[in-house]
Amino acid sequence: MKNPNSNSIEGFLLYLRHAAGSKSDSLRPYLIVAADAMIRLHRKGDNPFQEEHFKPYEGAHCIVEGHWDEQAKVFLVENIRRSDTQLP
Amino acid sequence: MKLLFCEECGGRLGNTDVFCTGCGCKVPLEIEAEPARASIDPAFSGGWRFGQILPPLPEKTRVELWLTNSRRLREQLDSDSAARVLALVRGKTGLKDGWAHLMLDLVSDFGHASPDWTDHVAVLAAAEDQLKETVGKGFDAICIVGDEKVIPMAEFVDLTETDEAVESDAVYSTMSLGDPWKDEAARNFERATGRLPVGVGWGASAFEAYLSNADAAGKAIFSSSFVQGVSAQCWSEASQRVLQDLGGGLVQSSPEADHKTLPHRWDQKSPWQYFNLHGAIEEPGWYGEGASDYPVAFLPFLMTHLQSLNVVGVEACYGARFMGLSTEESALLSALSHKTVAFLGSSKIAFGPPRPPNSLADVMIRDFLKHMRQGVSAGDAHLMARHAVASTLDDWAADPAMVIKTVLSFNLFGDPSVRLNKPLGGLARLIHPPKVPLRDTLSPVRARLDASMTLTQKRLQGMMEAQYRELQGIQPLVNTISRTGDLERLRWGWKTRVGAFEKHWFVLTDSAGKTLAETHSK
Repeated sequence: MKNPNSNSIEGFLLYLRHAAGSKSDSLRPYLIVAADAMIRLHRKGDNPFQEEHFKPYEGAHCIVEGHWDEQAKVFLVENIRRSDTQLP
Repeated sequence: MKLLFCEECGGRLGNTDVFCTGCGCKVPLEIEAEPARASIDPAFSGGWRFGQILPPLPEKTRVELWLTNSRRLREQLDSDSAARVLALVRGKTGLKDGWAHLMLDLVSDFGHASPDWTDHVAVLAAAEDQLKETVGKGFDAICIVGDEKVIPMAEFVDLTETDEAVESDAVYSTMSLGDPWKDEAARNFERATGRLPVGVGWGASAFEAYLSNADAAGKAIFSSSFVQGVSAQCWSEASQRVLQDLGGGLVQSSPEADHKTLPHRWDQKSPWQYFNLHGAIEEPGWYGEGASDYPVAFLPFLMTHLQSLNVVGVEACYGARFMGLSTEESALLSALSHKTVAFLGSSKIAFGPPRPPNSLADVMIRDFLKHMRQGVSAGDAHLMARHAVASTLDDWAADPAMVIKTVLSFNLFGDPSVRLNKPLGGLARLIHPPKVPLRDTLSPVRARLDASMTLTQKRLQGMMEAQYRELQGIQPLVNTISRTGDLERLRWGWKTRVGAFEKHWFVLTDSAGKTLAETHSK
């Protein structure tokens, strides 16, 4: 059943360096939603340092469904699929 | 009132009876083990602020304030549980073990208002002034009873830009309303501070069990005195150095160990538990790191495997996460619910080097464990560790933003006055241990190495001074660079200021002192 608080967001999924120089320095999945806006993604229960679930979507334009975790500042993804949008 | 009965006939005795009125038997004198006056004397539980007289405090008595807000506690717990917590705190008040325990319930200061941390610091500062006027002492330690909804943590922007904000209890240590990123007084840590996060995730029963563990910790006998470490493989050299400085111990490295195999490899009886693993805000586990592999090395429930009363120091990012979490989701809450009496960890992303020399989170946890092992209380050990990290602020090799974030984000959880009985291992248990002369084979080698380092330094210093006048009299700092498969190299660095700019010179040498490269800052 779909979570009533779910939102969907579209963007390009890229793995970018997170918290460079810290003990959390690692590549994490981000959804690039505008030229100057990106959202970090996570699927509950997955290993945040590996995020294998998103690897097949790297570089693809995707639609993700889920909800924003304000405390963790991360979008918790429930569903992800490729969108048909083409790069301009 | 305590009921007394005759050991011979079982008849009821009055409190002042010297002989049993039933059988005439002499009543043995009851001698208290310590002159403890743990009490519900209202002067200790807030009355001192309103003119009630505290007894004169013996000269070396230290003052610990138990701070809470009963209205906020009731909002987090049911009324009975909140009342139980308050009664337990009130029961802690009085004179005991060289401490005067006072209580402050902020309900009368704030009522229904929603004060922030600055309001709390202002009230505490005024209360401390009142105490100084009354007994000539301020607070040596503050034990916060309640989660962030009961007594707020301060929030500061994060100038390392790795988190949006840094949550910290450091403001209750400094009592400063200033910005610790700019204001030195806001980094003047004076009071030992710890938090017992009573709230939805950690309730009255857990609090009561914790107090009982904390009371037992000072008298407990430990069978092991070594530090047990669990480290991500990528930081194993830094972790090993931390343990060396703590007198030795065992480091389990992950990926070799993970949450499934760790229980079979881990010294669960050690009272000193050290973790240098990855942590994340999204998930409860702590992670190892090998070649692009981040296995789950530790999960919160594993804290319940610890068999001794213990102290935990954790370097992991978000190692002390607890807000809005349960004991299944937070290693901190799981530890405090079991046998951990002091837990030091970061509220946010932490920093530390992969290899020695140790810095930042390494120093914070190393010094905390080191001082606690020497018998210092948890709050004082945390205070000393904070000072050790803060003292590196002016080091050339240190990033000031990372230093400040480290001193702010590493918060102590537990009663700051708690201490672990100093464990005595092996021959140290004997009053007069036999002395065995040990041949010192290390010192001559070290002396020869130091001599060759001094010669190299003199030669490089002469070479650089001849080329660059501004380096006259400036001593270089030396760092070791060693990568797997490479020979060890040394980086010699000079720093000086030319006008508005800071200039750096570096010379890279091999371990024999041969110059490999020279570089300058742009």
